[in-house]
Amino acid sequence: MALSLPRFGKPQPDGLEGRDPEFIRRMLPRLWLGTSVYFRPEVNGFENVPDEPVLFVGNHSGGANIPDTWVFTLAYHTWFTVEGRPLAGLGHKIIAMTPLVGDFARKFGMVTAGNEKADELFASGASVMVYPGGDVEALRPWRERNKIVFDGRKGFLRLAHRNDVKIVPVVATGGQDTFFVINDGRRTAKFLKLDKLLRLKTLPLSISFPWGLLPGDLPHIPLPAKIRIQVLPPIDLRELFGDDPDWDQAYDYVTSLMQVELSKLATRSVMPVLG
Amino acid sequence: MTTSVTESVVVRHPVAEVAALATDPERLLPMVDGIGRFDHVRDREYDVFIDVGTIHVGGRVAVATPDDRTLVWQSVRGTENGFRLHVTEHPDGALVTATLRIKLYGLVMARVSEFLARGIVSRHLIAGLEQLRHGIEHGA
Repeated sequence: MALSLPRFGKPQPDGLEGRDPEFIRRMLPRLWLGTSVYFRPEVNGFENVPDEPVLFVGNHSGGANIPDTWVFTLAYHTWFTVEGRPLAGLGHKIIAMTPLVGDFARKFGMVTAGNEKADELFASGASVMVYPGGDVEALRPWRERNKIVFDGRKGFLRLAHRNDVKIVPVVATGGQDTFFVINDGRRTAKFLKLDKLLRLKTLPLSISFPWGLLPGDLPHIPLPAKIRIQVLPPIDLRELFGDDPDWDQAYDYVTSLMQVELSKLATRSVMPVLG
Repeated sequence: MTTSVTESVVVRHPVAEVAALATDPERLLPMVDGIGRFDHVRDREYDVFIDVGTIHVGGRVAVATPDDRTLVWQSVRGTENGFRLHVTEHPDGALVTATLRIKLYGLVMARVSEFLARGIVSRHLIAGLEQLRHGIEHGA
């Protein structure tokens, strides 16, 4: 049987129309097989997801590779099937602009992050995945690998509240064991004005294969770390915090809940990387 | 060979309220998921085990509260360990500090085990403290 390779003829449109269910169906078995062998993932809690559009809120790990995001995306499509409710992950424009990777991600449902785009996705019945911590969290130092670092970003709360959708927290461990971040280089990023030029708030000093010690992070070969993901019960912001929420209070609650679950998930690890 | 691990967490609530919960094993232990098994055996004695991968580590401990801000236990059988949880004042509320000390036997293997145990114990202490903090601050 011939193995059909992915084709990238023309650029994929940005939005749900760029999602290619047939492509996902074709790629899912081989990617899930490779991922299962390499990262030995454990994904639990999908039974907590209600049958309605929701905002998945996750912690971001693994630098440029974000392996746990891929594991979650693959697991979502195996649980809910490719024909089920579409999942659109809001991503950084750097990913969207990257040749091949950007097209690949868009075929899997990645959409360049933006409020209007997200509102449209919910209106069309899709669920949306966001990582509020973004690059700051994905490049946090290894010693903080089991910490939720949303950097005070509360836009995801307003997004869920405005669209009247529940938040489903998704916590993951192991992604930050696929390479090592020594420090996050926040001061350097600010000094070089990367936050204004590229919306990058960190410039970490990392160790990865094959680059070795590197200022910043490039796509690398991830270490085969054990990845564990837990999907939590939904949070109804309107029910908990009313029509005019105290955003600080809501942020505190969601991040606190996720921190507890992340810490609990981390206790299942006996050794870093090996799991 | 003995090794000890200390972790702490700030709980944004009054010290007295935090100490009352944190030093009561009947209220504290059910809050901590990482403790896979705990049973009240007899007065001031509990069986306490934590889940480590696929095994349970722990044993029977004798619990004491030397003052109203401190909870201690000492193992009486099973893995030799001692635990101390202390609540102090903090500008934001209360600082809860937990120390677990374990004793391992052997030379080379004890050192390898100590290396692993420090990470495992640290993650369990952090998880327990985070659950305590969240439970008090958010009532979950």
